[in-house]
Amino acid sequence: MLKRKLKIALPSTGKFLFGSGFAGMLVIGWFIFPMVLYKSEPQPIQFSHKVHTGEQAGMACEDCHVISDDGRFLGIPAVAKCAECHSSPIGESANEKSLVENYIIPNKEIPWHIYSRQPDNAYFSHASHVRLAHLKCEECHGPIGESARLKVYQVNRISGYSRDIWGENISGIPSHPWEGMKMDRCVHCHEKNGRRDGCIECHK
Amino acid sequence: MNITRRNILKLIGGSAVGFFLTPLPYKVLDDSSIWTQNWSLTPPLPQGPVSIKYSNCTLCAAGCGVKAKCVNGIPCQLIGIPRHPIDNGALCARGLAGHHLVNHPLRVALPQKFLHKSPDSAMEPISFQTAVNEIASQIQKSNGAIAVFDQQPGRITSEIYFEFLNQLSNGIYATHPSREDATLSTLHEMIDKNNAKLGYDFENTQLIVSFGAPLLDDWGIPGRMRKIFGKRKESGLKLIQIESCQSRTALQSDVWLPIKPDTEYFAALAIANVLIKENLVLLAALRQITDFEKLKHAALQFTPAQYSEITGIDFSIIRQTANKLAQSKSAIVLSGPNPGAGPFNNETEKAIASLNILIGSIGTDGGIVIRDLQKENKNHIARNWNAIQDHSIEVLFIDSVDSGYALPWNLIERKLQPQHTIISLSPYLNEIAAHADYILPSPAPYESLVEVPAHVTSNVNSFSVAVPLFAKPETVIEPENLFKLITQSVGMQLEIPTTEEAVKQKAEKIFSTKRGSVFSYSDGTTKPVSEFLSADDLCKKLFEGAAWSDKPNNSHHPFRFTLNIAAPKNVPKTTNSLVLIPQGWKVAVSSSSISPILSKLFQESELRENAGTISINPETATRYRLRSNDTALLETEEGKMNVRVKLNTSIQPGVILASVGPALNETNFSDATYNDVLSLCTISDHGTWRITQAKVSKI
Repeated sequence: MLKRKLKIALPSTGKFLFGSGFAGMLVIGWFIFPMVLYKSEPQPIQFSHKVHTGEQAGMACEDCHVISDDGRFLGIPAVAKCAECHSSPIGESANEKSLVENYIIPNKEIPWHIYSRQPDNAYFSHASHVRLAHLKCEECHGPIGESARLKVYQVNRISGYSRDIWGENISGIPSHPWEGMKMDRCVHCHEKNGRRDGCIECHK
Repeated sequence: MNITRRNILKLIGGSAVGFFLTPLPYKVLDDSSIWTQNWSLTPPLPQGPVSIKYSNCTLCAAGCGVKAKCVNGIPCQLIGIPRHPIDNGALCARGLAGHHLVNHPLRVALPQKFLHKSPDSAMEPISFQTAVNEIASQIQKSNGAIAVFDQQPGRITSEIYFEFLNQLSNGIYATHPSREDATLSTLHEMIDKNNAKLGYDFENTQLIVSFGAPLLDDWGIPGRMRKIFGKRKESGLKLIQIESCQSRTALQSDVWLPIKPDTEYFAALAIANVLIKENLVLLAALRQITDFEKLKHAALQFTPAQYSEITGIDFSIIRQTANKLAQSKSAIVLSGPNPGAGPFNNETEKAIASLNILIGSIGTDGGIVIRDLQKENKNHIARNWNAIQDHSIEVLFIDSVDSGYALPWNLIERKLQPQHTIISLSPYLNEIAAHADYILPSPAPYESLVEVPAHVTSNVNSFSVAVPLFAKPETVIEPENLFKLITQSVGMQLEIPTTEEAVKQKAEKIFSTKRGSVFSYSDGTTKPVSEFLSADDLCKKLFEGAAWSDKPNNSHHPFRFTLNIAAPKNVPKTTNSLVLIPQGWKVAVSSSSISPILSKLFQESELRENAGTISINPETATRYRLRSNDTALLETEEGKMNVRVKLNTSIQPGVILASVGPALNETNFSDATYNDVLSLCTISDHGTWRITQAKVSKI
């Protein structure tokens, strides 16, 4: 009797295999595939935005990430900018020591991995968005100014771009409004704000 | 567990369903497409400081203002200048990609000589000095004419050509037969004892009757036309397009009159017929015409029914058109060469131009106005290519710039002596340059200083300067420097100024008149010439990026006209055979004049047809058992070629519209097997090639 009941409860081999294939592929697609797709690469040194923007230093984003008078965004500051305060080590951390000895003293630029690097054919003007549209840095970059450590840089093995372009979630659905830097996000924001732009506005 | 073939299939099926419910396929597809951007063959964009430079486009005579965004000094993007007083800040598709042309695959970067006269002869490099010596020797011993074919008359370079030819007893200065100012130049020839430069006052007109002019397809100054027609609802402007095919302009017109091919002359006479018979001709106009009776005789030669039969337009519609012209507060009647099919013959041009005189539109606001009353040097009278005697030219220089309009090689060839020398100054190996003996390349667009005079259809004078955006290679030579070398070698005493000197002279002239104002490209401000401190100050502004435009002339000159209209001798016969009409797009009739990267317009989307394509009505296709995309053999008396068939209901049955567009990328024009549709066109006695009897059959 028990044997008969068990026989009824268990699915047939065919159904079991179908389900196994289905479930296995879901596991591969949702969990294993991202691990294979992205490769972690360490940043050359660690950096704390929090230390710089907090009470200790009290700096604003634009103190280092400058938009020049002619509208060009200078991006990550040059090592000369760091040298203004770090000409000698502040504290005894290994990162501080590396910054001064490996980059500031030999006046060598730090080979940062850029989380937001876009293809060459995509033009983005920080000046237009910050000065004309009055967007705040956090609206696109999230609370990065409060981060104590740089997050791990993950590079897409196929496209060669950072994981931050697609977004943290492999589904492409952002968990936070600032996640992802794909074109659909630009389009969505422009549509929301009543901008009607042609291709040539961003693709030269 | 019982593993059977069916169970394995179920495992695969489950995996497949699961696969499409994961991001894996979509993400791999997205990443792969981005990966293709990083292939090693994809040219990397320059990185470096961004700067802005100002210049003017010289791809056609419109000379639109250009703002160039440069990276590391290299132009990466061209856009128009907002609020530009002449072009309204617009650039056409070809102008937007004008900076690609320095790297065009058909570019000739070294002086070259063709080894012998055959289409497949090879080119070999030659030094400028050797080429100049050989050409000078040819000029000295020539018995025939020495001609310069100027494709954009009115420039300082054109003046140099004049001066050079004036020193020769056998010099001919020739211009392109397709002229956007065809109606204006015909009127100019009709005016007795006057050298007034005329222009169209489109801004104030209420009605335009266009005989085939592609007004809304980059004709004239595209930005100007766009602005005028963009405001047509407010201004009340109406356009009547008389054209055999439903072109882009015909599609956007208020009334399209689908005329039988090559009967425009009769349509113009039919309108004149109504104007005369219904007493709609202005009395003042009648007094201005010295030979009105000749026109009357020509116009009244046919009955309304005959005109309808000849043109294919119901006479009641012709009557309506004539009445609209007579009743409109201001009106312009004009013709326009088709970029592919070329100009109308002289008689047609005269018939069209004379309608403007009959309705009194000359010298009135919204009509044809006087741009300038400056006297021209009589020695500088340009000759239309067709006016040159056949087999008379021994040495022919073909100017470096492009007119934007097609010209069949057959038409050039018939003017040449059997033993001739052709020197092309083109920076590209294009359809015409492939026939040259020497190619002495000029700088490509944006590589040299070029002056931009007022466009021939403009109602006000203007002047600006196209400053170079690229450094020119050392192996090219400006036309003025080439002619300096030639004159020295021939032993002529001729002072040839550099373009910079000529621009300074022009600036001094503008400054001395104190007329007009200067629009600055960088800040969009306008400053009257009277406020400039010196001619140098004005010149400096022009070099920085600015356009001078004069105020409208507003003078009303008492003209006398001699029309010289001849009565029609032959009525076109109705024929059952097919007629071939070449069709092109301004500045895109030659492969070298557009960026090869404009493939989205031509080779991929086919928004514009490539060379080697014909469009026919489905009815014609059925008659000849052709289907869309079939390869067919197109035959005329001049030759044959294989073409691809496209079907288009807007084309009249019996008409083959053959595209004179750029050839497919990587076409070799010096290849003996290369054939373009213009070589299949019959050149008429008038030097036109609009209509050719043709046959088509499926291969």
